[in-house]
Amino acid sequence: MADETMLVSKKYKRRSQAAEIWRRMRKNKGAMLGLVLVILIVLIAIFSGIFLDYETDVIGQNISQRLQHPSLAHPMGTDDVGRDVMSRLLYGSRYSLSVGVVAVIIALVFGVTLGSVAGFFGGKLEEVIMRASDMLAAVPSILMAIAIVSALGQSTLNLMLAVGITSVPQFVRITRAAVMTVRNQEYIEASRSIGLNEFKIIWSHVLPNCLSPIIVQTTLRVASAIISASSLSFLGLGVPSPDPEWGSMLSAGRKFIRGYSYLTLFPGLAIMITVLSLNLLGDGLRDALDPKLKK
Amino acid sequence: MYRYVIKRLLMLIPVIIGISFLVYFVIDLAPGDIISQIAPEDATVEEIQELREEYGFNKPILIRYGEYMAGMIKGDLGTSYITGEPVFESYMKRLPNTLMLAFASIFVSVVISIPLGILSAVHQGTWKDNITMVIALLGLSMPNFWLGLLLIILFSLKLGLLPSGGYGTFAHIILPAITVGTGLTAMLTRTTRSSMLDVIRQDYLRTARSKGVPEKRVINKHALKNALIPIITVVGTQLASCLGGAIITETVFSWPGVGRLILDSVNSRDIPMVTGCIIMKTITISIILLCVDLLYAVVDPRIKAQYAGKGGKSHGR
Amino acid sequence: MKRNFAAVLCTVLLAGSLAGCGGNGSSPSQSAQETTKAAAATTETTAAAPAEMPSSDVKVKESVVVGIKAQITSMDVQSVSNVAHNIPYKLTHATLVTMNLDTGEILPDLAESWEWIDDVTIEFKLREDAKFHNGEPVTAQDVVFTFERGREGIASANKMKPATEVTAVDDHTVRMVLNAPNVDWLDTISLPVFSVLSEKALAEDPEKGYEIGAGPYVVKEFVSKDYLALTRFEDYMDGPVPTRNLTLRYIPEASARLIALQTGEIDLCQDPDTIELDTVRSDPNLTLVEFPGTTCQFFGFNCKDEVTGNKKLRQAIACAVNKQDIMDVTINGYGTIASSFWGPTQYGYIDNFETWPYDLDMAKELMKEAGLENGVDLEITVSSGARVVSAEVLQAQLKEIGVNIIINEVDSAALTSITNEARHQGLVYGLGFNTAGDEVRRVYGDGSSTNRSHYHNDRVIELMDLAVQEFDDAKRKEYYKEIQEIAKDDIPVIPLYYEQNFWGVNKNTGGVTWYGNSNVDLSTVYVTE
Repeated sequence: MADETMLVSKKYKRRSQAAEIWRRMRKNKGAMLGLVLVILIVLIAIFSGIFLDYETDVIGQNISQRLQHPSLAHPMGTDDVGRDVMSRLLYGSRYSLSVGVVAVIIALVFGVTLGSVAGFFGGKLEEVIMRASDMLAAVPSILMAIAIVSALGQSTLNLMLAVGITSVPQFVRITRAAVMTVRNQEYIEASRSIGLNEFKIIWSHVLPNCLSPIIVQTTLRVASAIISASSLSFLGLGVPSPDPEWGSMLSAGRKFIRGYSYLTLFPGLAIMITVLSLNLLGDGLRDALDPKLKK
Repeated sequence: MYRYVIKRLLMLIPVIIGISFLVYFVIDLAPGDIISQIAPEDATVEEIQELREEYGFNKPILIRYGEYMAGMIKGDLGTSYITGEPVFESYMKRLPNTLMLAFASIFVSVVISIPLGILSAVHQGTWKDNITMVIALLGLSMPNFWLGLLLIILFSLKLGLLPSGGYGTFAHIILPAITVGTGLTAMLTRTTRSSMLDVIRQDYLRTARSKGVPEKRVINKHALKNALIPIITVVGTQLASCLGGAIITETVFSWPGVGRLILDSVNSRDIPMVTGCIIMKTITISIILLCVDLLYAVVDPRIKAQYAGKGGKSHGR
Repeated sequence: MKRNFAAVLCTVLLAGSLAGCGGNGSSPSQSAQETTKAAAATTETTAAAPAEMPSSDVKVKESVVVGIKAQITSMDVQSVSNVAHNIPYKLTHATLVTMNLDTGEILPDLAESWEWIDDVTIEFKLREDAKFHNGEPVTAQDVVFTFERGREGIASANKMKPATEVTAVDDHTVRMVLNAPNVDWLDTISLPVFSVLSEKALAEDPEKGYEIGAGPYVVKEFVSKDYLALTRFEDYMDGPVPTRNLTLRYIPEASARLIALQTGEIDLCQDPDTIELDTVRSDPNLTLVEFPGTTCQFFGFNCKDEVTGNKKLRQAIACAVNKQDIMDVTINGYGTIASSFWGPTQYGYIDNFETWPYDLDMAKELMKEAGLENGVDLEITVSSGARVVSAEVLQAQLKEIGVNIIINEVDSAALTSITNEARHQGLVYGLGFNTAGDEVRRVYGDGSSTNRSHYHNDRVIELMDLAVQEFDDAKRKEYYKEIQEIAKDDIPVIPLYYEQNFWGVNKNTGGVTWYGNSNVDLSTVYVTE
């Protein structure tokens, strides 16, 4: 009975907290714009797989139709082997988004685990984790990613891994900082005193209270992961051909930039809009989750 | 204070060992080695094998790494397999270019961000605030090389105002600096804004206003000065990251900086060059971060007192 | 960077002058002709005529800047041998003899004359007025020293091997004894890797002494992988060249390089991208220089691989590749379809060599004979950049006959290792051919690292050996023809096309010798005001 009441009140409290955050978000026009765009892009990614056929629409070549400027038949023109740029761009959202999201999930899993362990236990363990993380952070992330892709070979998965690994230190640092602020709170003391397993404490009591910075960081990192992936594509280390990842499209179009600038314009805009929306959303979330900043 | 500096420098040692091992190992893992790059085209497969032995590639990686580090302890960063030049010399030849680009980029970023940040803080919550933040984010949202290419097309080709690449004169640095700089504005604008927001409602500003000091002066003089510390922190970390992150811009603008040197060396598996440059880079970055921390002490006497008192706790990271 | 290494690898090696044939033209010859026509219609087609000098009443620019596409990594002539380095080495150093790289004609340089004493002994008489940049005269002892030092040089060791003995007969006479009769020896020693070094300079400065040569330009400043600044050598044996300061500047991006040319930052631009040629043509201040190249882009197979070791499969693929489409897409049609894997200026080239036609029915039939009518997976290894596009087009084309191409994009360092170790199935690559007939050894010889197909055929080896020792022209050509016919049947390599070479230059540029194998000779370059 007592348990139930607690549960109910907790639920109630959470809902109201979410509602409060949502209320604050709604007031932030930028964040709402970002949210709408992100949802739209995700929908495009989902539905492009249904409406477009990979073999014919996305990688099917038509050399007699190569390098056609935008027209009614091809609203964004065709590329150097006669593929429709718009189809590739729409379909490419799947690659670009999944590279960003998967890379960040990888970073999230490692970063949050290590960061919370470091922040919660402290001592030697913290020292080791933080120094290792500093080391990784000291190597410029793009270089590290280049080295990793060179070492593992070029594939979409390795690209995700490379971008993911280079994002780990940020998550470690942020999680650790957040965990350190909660670890000495009374309710943590309390759960310790009733003999809860330490990892359980981290998982069910510490982390939920550190979520806001992690959520914000996740949103922002997806954005920067998309940029990193496109930079690697520029250097020839991106998603292998002929898959239409935006960064590879942009990079393939750069030699046509003078006469056929639409080949770089549209993928560039696609990246820009996606990254901008994610950043707007991330910023909005940050403000909404941490009202102190907005005051 | 001195003890603090020395401690920070000593902390570099394990970091360098860790990084060099990491880099050495990762590059070694990559398929292909330097021999494929330096062997003449008419070399037979056997001759390539001989060369590989000559360069010691048949030894286990730990031994090779050990030998490399043994040289490093004596202050020898190794010699490039490709150019035959000492790594340190190659690095130092490129470093001024990288530093120049880094400082110019930071300058661009500061010039854009601080006014934008102040503007949006003063007009907090209005449309001006929103637009400013979107503008600040734009730079961050554009892939660097795309922005670089667009700038070249516009300013070099269409308008004929600025050179498209290379270096040497002041005009050469403008486009690369804008390319890198705009990527940094988002962070700095955001920091300026929130830092200004913190300060803007402080009592002493209210006092200043009530004394009849013009609003402009209140903001530019009193508020900005006090909002400076977080801004310096961000500038410092950005400077540090500029020293490593401008590879793409350096490629687009044929800017012969350290980033491209490292990139080329990764591609040709020039392990001593990559490892040596990264070690040098780490040292450079650490020194800059240290300087930033010391700069706090200058800006804020309270922090100075702290150093003097404890001589220990790491700041700024 | 990648592009550099590609350039390094599809480069010049031996140069020679013997006989040959050619021919593997699958795609419709009609379109091939169209291409040639299109190419011919463009601006200036310059053959390798001897470079003319500016007339004495015209003022020339003091400083000329050349935008190059590949890095110069070292100025030690004995450390690297490829186009990217031959161009600068030719400016700073001199060799005993030089060659007209298009005709194969041997011309005197430091040696004013030479004479074969017997089959394996040759004597060179050096010019007495030749000086090094440090003011020292070029002597026979310097040549001997060059060979001694060269035996340790990475790029030179192999090439100097045939000369078992190099001695100074007197101050200006050098005698070389070879390990075997070698028709191509003079061609070989015309390579910049045989540039004569000053013994004194290297004794005084072991670190940088190799920069001292007897060429028309002195190294003023060299920053590896960035630029090379030169000033003219006033005491050059043929008199000072027209341009006082010459700089080679590395600009990796083709579009950036062209923009630099348009804005006047550079005067010559190597390899503008074919998609931007009209920009050069329509710019009144620029001239487009165009000349046929000898680099052949190809689709090769690993003959040691289980799948691609199947000859019928290779033949089937040869019938299913539409070379014209690939050439159109990758270089916008500015090239010539290749029908045999043989250089167009190489001895033994055959015009209109008959090869596999583009015929999908025949291809499908061959697939059946190969026992692969149900299709097969085939991995193409390709280094990132332009060749990826070729691989993409091949992927689309071969889908028609059930060959499912998997593209394995790697960087060039990895590609070299993979192909050396025969871990690939197919690859798309390029190879630059020179004039010697024996170039074929690079392509099909055992153990040659440019035999990326790991192809071996006893008869081909036998024919190569017969040909190089044969002094009768007709017989020699017959041998080379047979090699090409065997190679057509075995088809270890499908040659795709020869690239057209382009340079965008300031319209007042003169004095350059444009060689088809890309070893452009810039020594007398000038730009009039």
